[in-house]
Amino acid sequence: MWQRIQAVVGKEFIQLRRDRRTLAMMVMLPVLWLVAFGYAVNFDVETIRVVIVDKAASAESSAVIDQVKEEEDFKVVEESELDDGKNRLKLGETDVIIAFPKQYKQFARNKQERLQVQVDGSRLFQAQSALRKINGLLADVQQSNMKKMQQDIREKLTTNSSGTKWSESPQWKAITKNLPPEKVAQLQSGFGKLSAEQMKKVAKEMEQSLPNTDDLQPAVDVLYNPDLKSVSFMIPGLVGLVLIFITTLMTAMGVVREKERGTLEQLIVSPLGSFELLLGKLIPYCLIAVFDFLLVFAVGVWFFDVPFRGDLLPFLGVSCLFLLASLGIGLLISTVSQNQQQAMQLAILTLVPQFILSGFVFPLEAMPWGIRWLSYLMPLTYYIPISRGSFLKGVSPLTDEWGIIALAIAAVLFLVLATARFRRSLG
Amino acid sequence: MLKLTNISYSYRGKKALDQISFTLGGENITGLIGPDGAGKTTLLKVIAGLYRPESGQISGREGFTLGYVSQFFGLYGEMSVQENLHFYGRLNGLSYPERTQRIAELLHWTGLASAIDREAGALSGGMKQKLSIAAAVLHRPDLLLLDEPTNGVDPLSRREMWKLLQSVAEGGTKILASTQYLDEAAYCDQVMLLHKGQLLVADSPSRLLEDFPFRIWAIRDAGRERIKWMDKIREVVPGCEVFSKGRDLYILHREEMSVQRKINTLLSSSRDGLALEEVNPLYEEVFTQRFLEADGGKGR
Repeated sequence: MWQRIQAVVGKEFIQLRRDRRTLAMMVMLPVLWLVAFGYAVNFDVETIRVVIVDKAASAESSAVIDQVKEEEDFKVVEESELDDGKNRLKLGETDVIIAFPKQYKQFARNKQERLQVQVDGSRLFQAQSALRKINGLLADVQQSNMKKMQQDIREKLTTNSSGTKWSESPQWKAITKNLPPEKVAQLQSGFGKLSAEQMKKVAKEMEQSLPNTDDLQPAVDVLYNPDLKSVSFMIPGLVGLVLIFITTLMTAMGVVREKERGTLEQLIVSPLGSFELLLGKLIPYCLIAVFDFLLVFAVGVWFFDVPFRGDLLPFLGVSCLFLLASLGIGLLISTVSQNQQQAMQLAILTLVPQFILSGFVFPLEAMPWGIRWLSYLMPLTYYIPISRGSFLKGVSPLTDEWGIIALAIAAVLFLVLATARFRRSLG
Repeated sequence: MLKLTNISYSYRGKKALDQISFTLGGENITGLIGPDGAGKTTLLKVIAGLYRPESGQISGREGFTLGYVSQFFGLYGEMSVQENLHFYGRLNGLSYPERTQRIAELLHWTGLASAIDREAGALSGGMKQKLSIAAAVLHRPDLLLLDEPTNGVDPLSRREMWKLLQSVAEGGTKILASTQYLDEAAYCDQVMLLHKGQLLVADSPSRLLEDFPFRIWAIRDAGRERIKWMDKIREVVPGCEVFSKGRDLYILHREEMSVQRKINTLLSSSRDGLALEEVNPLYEEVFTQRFLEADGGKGR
């Protein structure tokens, strides 16, 4: 039995060695994806182009503009008219317009005094980044304004409490103009003491009721991916994507190619059993998929610095389960297809939805239930959270029992169905 | 011995094999002869185990080894001659020394020794066919099934191919080969005529020739007047079959002396110096006659 299986495995590798295009695809696909998802796919747009229209031309607006200009991420152009800014936005020459109205106030009390920001929503990711950055910047500006206001209040209160100002007021002068200087001095000292105490008390109350501007912003702590790096989000998903793509595509093409070229007949007539043929066909693709998996894993961890915090062995175990499910899908495609073209179309038909609906890029929670139920029919949907948990959170895959059960069901179901169909189509 | 009993098989609602029964293993070379669509390929695939018959039985398969050469090249084109042979050797359980010795033997025998490292896909049609046969007989099977091995092969190579098959048979492997070339019956020990999924007859080719109920006469070099002579012969010998091949005329009839006499009389009246000569029937005529009879006609 093993001699025959070995013969088929050996034959597959000879064929692969000769079929440079397929071999290149199997090695290059993970590398290309690594480059694409590691470098190119980044939802965070670094440079935001900003048009500033300053109708206020006040000290307050200048202070904000200076802050905006200081930001490295903003590329600023100034325009005198709002319409010119809007025109630039329409032509795609800018991402954001920050407009200061004539009555602009940092602490606005009505619409006329409010700062206006316009963002190009047709460029989704730029718009999201721009909003995030501008909100951050304006929050900083507001915070520093608050701080300044607090300081002013404190200063005013403390200045009055020293008693230097009220003694120079006209009311005091009117009261004390007919009194002898020693009486005035006596009164001044008495009032001074009294008012200083009252003022101190008020100042203390005020101090307590004013917020501490340093603690005004919430304490945000991003766990597991502190820098919110896209690559850290992508690589754990990519590991699964590579596994399912390589195994499904290769297996789907592998068996149907024998059928199409008539070589399958020779194999059936030989003493090779259908189970032996199946194993002989699957083992090479398994090995290649494992190689690609390890390649993506290693490059992800050592080159892109994506942390792997979980338990390696259970993770590899769950990955094997996922691999079996993928092989089952590929084999099933191969047995229902008549030729390689059909197999390729079917493979793409199953892989593309997994790419889109599995949560690899787009969150499942954002999908309506009309579509989302489809996601739960796909093995990748269960594998990705396990992979991300293992990589980033250090959660053991074994804690996700439902995910593992779903993968096990998928593996058994697809493999049993495929084997049954395979045997039937052979016999 | 492989025994087929009442084998039937339908393909897309059409009966491809209808109650076929025969025993294989007695004769060295059996030719499966029939026109396109007769069911030759289907029958071979049923015997090879590629198709499961819808009814009937095949007995004697246990311990009976098979080799199969399909109509279209079924080896791996991107693998070399040697790699293909080693692969099939391994599948058939031959050890490395056994394989190496047997492959060397087969390469020498088929004349493929010089092409040992060439990719199978790059070989000529004849060479591909030889390689297919070599791969199928590596393990010295009890029965070798070949589906139209000479299809699309030039006449010289066809003869060479049959010689090769004869030497396989001499080695103890029984052969069942289908062909649509009726004259190839001459290479067989037994001929099975298959027509529209039914087995018309299974007998030795010489017996089939002997049993041919017609006599054939030829008028050599009948020239431009052929058509005129065909009409005249049909007039004097009603019910005869007259046809031309090249410049010659052929006449088929069940009766003997009266026909010969009538035509000779007719020819003696001509100034062209034409003469009637009796010729031996060819397989082509013998088998065609059988097929026509099976179609419901009385033959010629």
